[in-house]
Amino acid sequence: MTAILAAAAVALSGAAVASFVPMRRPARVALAALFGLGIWSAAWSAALFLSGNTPRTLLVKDALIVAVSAAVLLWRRDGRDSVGTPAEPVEVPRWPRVAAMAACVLATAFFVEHTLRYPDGGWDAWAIWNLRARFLARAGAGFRVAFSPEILFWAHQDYPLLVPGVVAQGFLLAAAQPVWVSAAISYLFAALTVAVLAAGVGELRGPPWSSLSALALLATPAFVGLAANQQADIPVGAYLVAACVLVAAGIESGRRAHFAVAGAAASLAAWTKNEGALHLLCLGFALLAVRWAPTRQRLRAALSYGCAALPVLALLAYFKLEVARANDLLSNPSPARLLEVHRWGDLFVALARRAAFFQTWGLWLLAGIAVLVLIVPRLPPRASARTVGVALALSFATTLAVYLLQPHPLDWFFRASIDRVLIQLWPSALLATVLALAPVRGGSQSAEGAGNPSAGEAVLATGVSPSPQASAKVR
Amino acid sequence: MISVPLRGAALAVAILAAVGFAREAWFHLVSEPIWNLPARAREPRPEERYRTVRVALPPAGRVGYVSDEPISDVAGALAPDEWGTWLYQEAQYALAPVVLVVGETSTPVVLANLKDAGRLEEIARAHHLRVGRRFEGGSVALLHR
Repeated sequence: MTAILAAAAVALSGAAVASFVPMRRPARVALAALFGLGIWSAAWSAALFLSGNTPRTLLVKDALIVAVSAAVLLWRRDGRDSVGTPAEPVEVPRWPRVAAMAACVLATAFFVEHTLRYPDGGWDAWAIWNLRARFLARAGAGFRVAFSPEILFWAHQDYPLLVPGVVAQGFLLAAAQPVWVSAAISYLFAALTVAVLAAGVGELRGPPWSSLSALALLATPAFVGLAANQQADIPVGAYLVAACVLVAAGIESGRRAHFAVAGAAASLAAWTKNEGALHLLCLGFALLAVRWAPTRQRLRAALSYGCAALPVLALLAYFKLEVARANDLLSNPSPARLLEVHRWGDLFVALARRAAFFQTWGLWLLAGIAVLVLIVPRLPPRASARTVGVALALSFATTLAVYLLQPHPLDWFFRASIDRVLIQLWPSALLATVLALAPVRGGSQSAEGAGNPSAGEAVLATGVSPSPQASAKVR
Repeated sequence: MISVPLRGAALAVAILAAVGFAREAWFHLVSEPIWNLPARAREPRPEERYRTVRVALPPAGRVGYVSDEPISDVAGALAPDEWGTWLYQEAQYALAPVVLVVGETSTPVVLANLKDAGRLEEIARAHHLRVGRRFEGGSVALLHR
């Protein structure tokens, strides 16, 4: 009964949020599942802080979520914008879809192999995320001990609770802490990352590109490895790519609801890991700074984005101010480290080596840099690609500054963390690349080559939002 | 150029994906030899080391913690190797919601978690504690005042 109610809470809350964005069914379903998990977890954390960790907390919280979500869905039923599936201009090749499906099977096999070998996941999984989930599930009313400053700082007590919240509720529903719970949740988040990327690209650029983007993500060695290691960076990447898909859809459709839901997605990234808050800020900044529409329209978009992020940000603020202790990376920041030339040199040498690090990235990072340098400048600028690209570049640049400021030995810290930082950004980077390379869905392009731009494409290329009058009807 | 040709982009992705999957296959089948997976999956998990001591500890609260290996307990100051930190993290993972407090010896019971079981008496003496119950051949033990 409790498990059924929990499943209903996840499904209905996700569907309620997704009902605000007029997108095709695959994108809506993928986003709904991702939002459902995030809301289910964030609401549990809020319930813990408000009413304590009693046996009834989970049940009452899920019942409330079901009731509110059902009401929202009933309210949205009449006003929901339906998006039909228009006929594609040309027949698309079938092999990318077949290859993407084969890639899903292969990636699943690799995930299972690694999970059987290391069922507790990698270091961060058992030393941070699953440790916290065990505290929350086992400690009952004394759950705040999970954030005790007496636990060694490697447990990162200040890290937000989205992943431990999902895993701990899984433990409570199972009335035990079997290792398959955290492994299954990690698999689910990885699958949803692929689904959101593919469905989002399909929504914006059409079917062959969606399969190609899924294939690219699944064939990135770091992605499957880090997912099998149960790292929280995969869920951060999932919520970030969801936010980027929605921002791109908002820019290309001019519908403000997309920006609001993007803000909610980015706030869930912030509730997953500290870097998520940085991604939220950078995406919001790019929304304002990149000239994809008149200033007034950009301001309204950013306002929608920020307002929708507020509920989860309020939870995050409470957690940071009242529950968690200071972050170890910023516990002893020294601006003087920014002025040490050898640290900059070490960092850029390490970055250059990582770009060609075959073990975790294959040839993908080199290929991405080549596309960025050699091909993208020859294409007309597309506002959605530019906005997502600027946000990712800003996030990455700020992260590099943290590398310089943090107190650990730079080389050790870089090698221990850079792949996880990059995998957070990688699905969104693939999205931005496809947005830059491919024509908008419905624009003309044959399998042989690029065609002439459609009217919408030409408008988008100039950085002006399309059809403001048409868009106004659905705001 | 308005956009890249679909066929060229698809071919490039296909080649890169083949290389990526070849690397993944090498890692999951050869670097982690697939033929020893059944034996590896049957091995006891690391936290089995703490299964019996968990029953002997209080169900919650603070428990002192000592080890024969140095532990990195200050950000920015890493121990010479990761053994001590790894042992602590492993024990904390297995024993939550008990909080293991590094260096604390005034709690009613103190957990000794050692790499070298032969150093148990020496570690206990160094902290003015006496050895109580031993587990895992003495590499895990409860110490008392």
